[in-house]
Amino acid sequence: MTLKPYRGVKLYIYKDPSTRTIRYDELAEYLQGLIPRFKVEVREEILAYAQRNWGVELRAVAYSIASTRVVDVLGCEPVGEPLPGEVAFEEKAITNPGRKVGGILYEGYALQRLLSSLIPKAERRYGTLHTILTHRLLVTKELGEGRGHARTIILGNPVLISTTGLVEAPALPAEVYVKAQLFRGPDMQQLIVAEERQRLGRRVLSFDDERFTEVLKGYTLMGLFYYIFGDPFCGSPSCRLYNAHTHEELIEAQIESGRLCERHQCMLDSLKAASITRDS
Amino acid sequence: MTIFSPVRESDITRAIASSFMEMFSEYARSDVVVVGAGPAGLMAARELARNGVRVLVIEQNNYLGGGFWIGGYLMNPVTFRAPAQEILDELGVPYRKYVEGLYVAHGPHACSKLIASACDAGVRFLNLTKLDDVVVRDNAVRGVVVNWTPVEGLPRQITCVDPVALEARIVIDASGHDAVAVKKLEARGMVKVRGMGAMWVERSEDAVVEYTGVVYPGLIVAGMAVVETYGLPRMGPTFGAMLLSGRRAAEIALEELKKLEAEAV
Repeated sequence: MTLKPYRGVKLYIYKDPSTRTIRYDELAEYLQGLIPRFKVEVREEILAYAQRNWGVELRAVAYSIASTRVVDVLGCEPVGEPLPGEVAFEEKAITNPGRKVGGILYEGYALQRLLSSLIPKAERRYGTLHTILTHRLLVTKELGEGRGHARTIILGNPVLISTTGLVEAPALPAEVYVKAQLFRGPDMQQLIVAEERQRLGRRVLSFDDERFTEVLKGYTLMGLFYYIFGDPFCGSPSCRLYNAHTHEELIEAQIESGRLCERHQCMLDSLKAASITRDS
Repeated sequence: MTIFSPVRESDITRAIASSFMEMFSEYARSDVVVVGAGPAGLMAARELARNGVRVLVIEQNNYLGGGFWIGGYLMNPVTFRAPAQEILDELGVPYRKYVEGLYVAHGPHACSKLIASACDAGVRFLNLTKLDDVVVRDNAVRGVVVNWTPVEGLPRQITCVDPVALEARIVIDASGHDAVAVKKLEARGMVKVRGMGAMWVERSEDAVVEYTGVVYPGLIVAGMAVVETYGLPRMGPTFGAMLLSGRRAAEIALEELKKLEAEAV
């Protein structure tokens, strides 16, 4: 079989300055090393970059981001018209991208559409993938379940990877929730969950975890696989493309294994071969 | 042998009435009125008074302190996440470290010290006083309309007692989940309120502090009223955000007062 020449992907990664443990050079080098035709460029935080290079206006983008807030996680609808205080909050957040403020939820697809609209046409060409790391906690509605769920990644172009989502979205061990359920009040449940997180230590991913770089290698790959092959996930728990629903699964796939399964490695190898074919 | 000086009953009555009226008359116009004497309101009032601002706090209950006496589930140890323990240091409240970043103190001790500190700073209080409405002038909140709580609690046809207005250059709504001042504006279509959001994660304290601010000219929202106004996720029984939100509200109020002074010149 003759492989079609592969043109490669220009991958832009936008930093999340609020997570200080990400080693971007290592992440870029890893992705670059997978396929000769991957070109990886790490850029500053997307909104700072957009203001500096794409002429995006602070107040307007703050308004738009505030409009993607989700208040009711069950309905999971963006608020639409934001309150002045919400816009002011986003202005502060955009001006200080290094500060992470928890507890605010954003509708993942609405935010993705918004960020997509900021990217100029010249940078939305075929073969160009934007991967945006954000501290914003993203939620989307689970089809058929009628409620929202926190997400680690929103696939598409741009790909959104939530660093807060990597900590908050995967489930903790079931015994934590059983313990929390002993208390009726959500206040006490929160305290129990917080205490259990501390007890679990390295069994869960935490903010500014030094393992973030390793985890992001896998999540960035999911975005790439979706872009190239249309299928981001793998059913094998030890494959980097495993769609982890718990911290335990996430750590197994990204840290303990840290590799692609044979099938997905083969897919990458075929791309590599195609690239070489074209090069030669 | 008697221990106490002999005084007339009428002197006691006059002492109460004249002291109250003197204060009431003086504070019929204040720099700032704080609605609610919970931890956020007390903290805001204390900080403002320490900066030389004339502050009046109205509280619907007889007692001050709001929910600060109790930590959660009727148990009175109160918890604080770092860096809120620094405020406990300022107030002279003893506490201990429970786990890294989490501190615990006795509610009665913390609450009484905060009340005392606000009083020492010169804050004045009207307890058993309920907000009936806000004064709106020139598209800005410029005071509150109040009545006695017992009067407000009775049906109108029995009491028929009109409220009175207290003027202020700034009003801080620190009335907890009720967000009474904000909701008075909402009822007139002047602001929108999101309502408290669903409980989500254990990290909503930062958001409470960050969202503390002006919701309408002349009206600042602080504490749990912020949660109600902006639909933030409900948070655990930790009080750090209340204290820091109160402090942030005071900082914003000082900036707003400066602006008003500059406009007046």
